[in-house]
Amino acid sequence: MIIALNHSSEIPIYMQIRNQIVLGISDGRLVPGEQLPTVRALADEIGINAMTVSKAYQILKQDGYIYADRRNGARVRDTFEQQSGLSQNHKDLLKQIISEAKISGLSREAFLIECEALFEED
Amino acid sequence: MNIINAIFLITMYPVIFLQYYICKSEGTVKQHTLFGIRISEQWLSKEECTQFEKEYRRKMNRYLLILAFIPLTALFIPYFSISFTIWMIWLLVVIVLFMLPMATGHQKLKQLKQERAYSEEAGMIYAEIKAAGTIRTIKSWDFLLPNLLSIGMAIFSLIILLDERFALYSVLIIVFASCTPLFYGCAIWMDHTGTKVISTNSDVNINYTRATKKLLRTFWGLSIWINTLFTGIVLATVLLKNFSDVLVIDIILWGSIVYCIVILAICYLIWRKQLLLDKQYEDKMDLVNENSEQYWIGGILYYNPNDRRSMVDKTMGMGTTMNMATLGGKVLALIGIVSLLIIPISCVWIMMEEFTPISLEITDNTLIAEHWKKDYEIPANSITDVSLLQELPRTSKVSGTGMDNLLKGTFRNSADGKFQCFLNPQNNLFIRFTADETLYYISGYDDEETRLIYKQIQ
Repeated sequence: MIIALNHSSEIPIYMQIRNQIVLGISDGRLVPGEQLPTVRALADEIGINAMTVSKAYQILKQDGYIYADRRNGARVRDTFEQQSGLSQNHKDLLKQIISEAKISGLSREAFLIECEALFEED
Repeated sequence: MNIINAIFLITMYPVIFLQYYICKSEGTVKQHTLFGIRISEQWLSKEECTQFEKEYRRKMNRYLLILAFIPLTALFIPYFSISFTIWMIWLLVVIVLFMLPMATGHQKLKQLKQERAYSEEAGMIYAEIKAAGTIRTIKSWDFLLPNLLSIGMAIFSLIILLDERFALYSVLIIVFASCTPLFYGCAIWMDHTGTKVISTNSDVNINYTRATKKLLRTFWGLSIWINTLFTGIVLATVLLKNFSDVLVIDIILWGSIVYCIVILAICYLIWRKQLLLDKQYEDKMDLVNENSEQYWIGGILYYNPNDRRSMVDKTMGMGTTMNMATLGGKVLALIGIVSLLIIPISCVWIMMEEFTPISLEITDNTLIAEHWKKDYEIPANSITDVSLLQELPRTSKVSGTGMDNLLKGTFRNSADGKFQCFLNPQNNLFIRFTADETLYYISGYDDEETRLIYKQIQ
C-alpha cells in the first residue's frame, strides 16, 4: 500500500499518516489483522522522525482502527466498532464541507451524487 | 613512456569513456524522465525533448574529444610531478565537466516546468508501507567468510609489523584488508534504503526494489571477494620463503592495476544491467516522487531538511547519494571537499619536491642538508666511517620521497638495513657515513658539491 504525504500541507504529518491508513482500511488495501510496519521501519521508509509515526499509531489505536502489543507490533483490528450514526466530530466536519459546497453553488443533488460516488469508491 | 604514465593510462584513461557513457545515457527520455525531471507531453512536446537531447549529445561529444586528448600530452613529459598533475587535474575535470551539461539540463527543465506552471501533485511524497523495512537482500551472515579472512589477515599483519622487513607491507595489507569490512558496511547501508515507489502497484515497487538491491549486492559482493583475494595475494607474496622487495612491489603495482580494471568492468556491467532493468519496468512506472525535484540541486546534490534519511536514491544514474541536509551528508560533503583540495595541494607539493634542488653545506661545524627546508642538521664531530661511493646500492623506500632525481627519507637495503637518504640518484658520487648510530647516504646538488663536502667532513 502506498501512502502519499505532503510536507507543505497544513495538516500535520502524523494526521496525514493516520488518515492514509484509515483510507487504506476503508478501501481494502489494508485487510483486518494485517501487520503494519514497525514505527522505526515506517519512519525510515518515509524519512521522518519516529515520534511522528508513533503519534499516528497512538491516534489510530485510540480511534480503534489498530491494536498493538510489544510482541507482534501494530495490526489492523479484525472488527471495528459499528455505529449507527456519525460522531459529533464527523458531523462538524461534514457541516463545514456542506457549507463550502453551498457557497460555491453546488446543488443538493450534485452534492449527494458526489458523496455517493465517494462512498462507493471506498 | 615511463611506468607511472603507463599505470595512469591503464587505470585512469578508461574512466573518461565510462563517465561519458553513464552521463550520456541520462540525456534521453527514460521512464518519462529527462535529466531527473518527470516530463509529460502535456507540457513538453516531443520536438522540445529531441532538441534538449540533441544539444546535450553535442556538448558531451565535444567534451569527450577535448578531454580524450589532454592526458596523452602527459606521456611525452619526462617530469613525474607534471605528468601526475596533468592526470589528477584531468580526472577531476572529467568527473565534473561531464556532469555539468546534466546539471544545467536539469535546472533548465525545472525552470521550464515552473514557467509553464506544470506540476502533477506538487509537494507529494510517496512511501510503500507494506514492505517498509522488509526488502533486504543481504543477510547478517553473508560475506562472513571474506570479512573473517580480511580481519584475520589484518591481525596477522599487525603481528608481523614488528619485523622491520615487513613494516611497510604490513601497513599496506592492513589498509587493503580494512576495505573488505568497509565495502560490507556500504553494502548493508545501501541495502537498508527504502522501497522505490515507481508505480501505484505495490508488487511492482517491491519487485523493482528487490531487483535493484540484488544488483547492488552483486556489485558489493564481487568487490568484497576481489579485495579479499588481492589482500591474500599480497600477504602470501610477502610471506614467500624467498621474500624479495621487487616481487612484492611488482605484485602490488600490477595487482592494483588489475584490481582497478576489474572493478571498473564490474561497475560498467552492473550499470548496464540496471539500464536493462529500468527498461523492463518502463511501462509500469506511473508514479514518481514529484516533490523531490525541488530538493535536487542540478539533479546531483540532494538537500531536503524535511527528509531525515541520510541516504537517498540518485535522481540520475544508479546508486544512492547523501542528503546534504543531514549531519551524515554534511560530514561527507566536508570529506569530499577536503579530498578534492588534497589533490591540487599534493600536486604542488610533488612539484616542489621534484624541482627544488638539494644542497649540502657545513656551517658552524654542522652539516646541513637542505631541500626547500632544512631536512638534516648533523654535528660534524659526530660523523664517523665516512666513505665516497661511485655507485648506490639497490634500495627500497620505507618512508619519504622516491623520485628519479630525489631519494629523501628512510630507506632500506639487505646489507645495511634501515638508513637515512638525502641524495640525487642521477649524480655519480655519494657520501656514506654514520652519525649517532644512524647510517646516512647523501649527495650534494652535483658531484662537485658532494666531493667538496666529503673533503670537509673527512
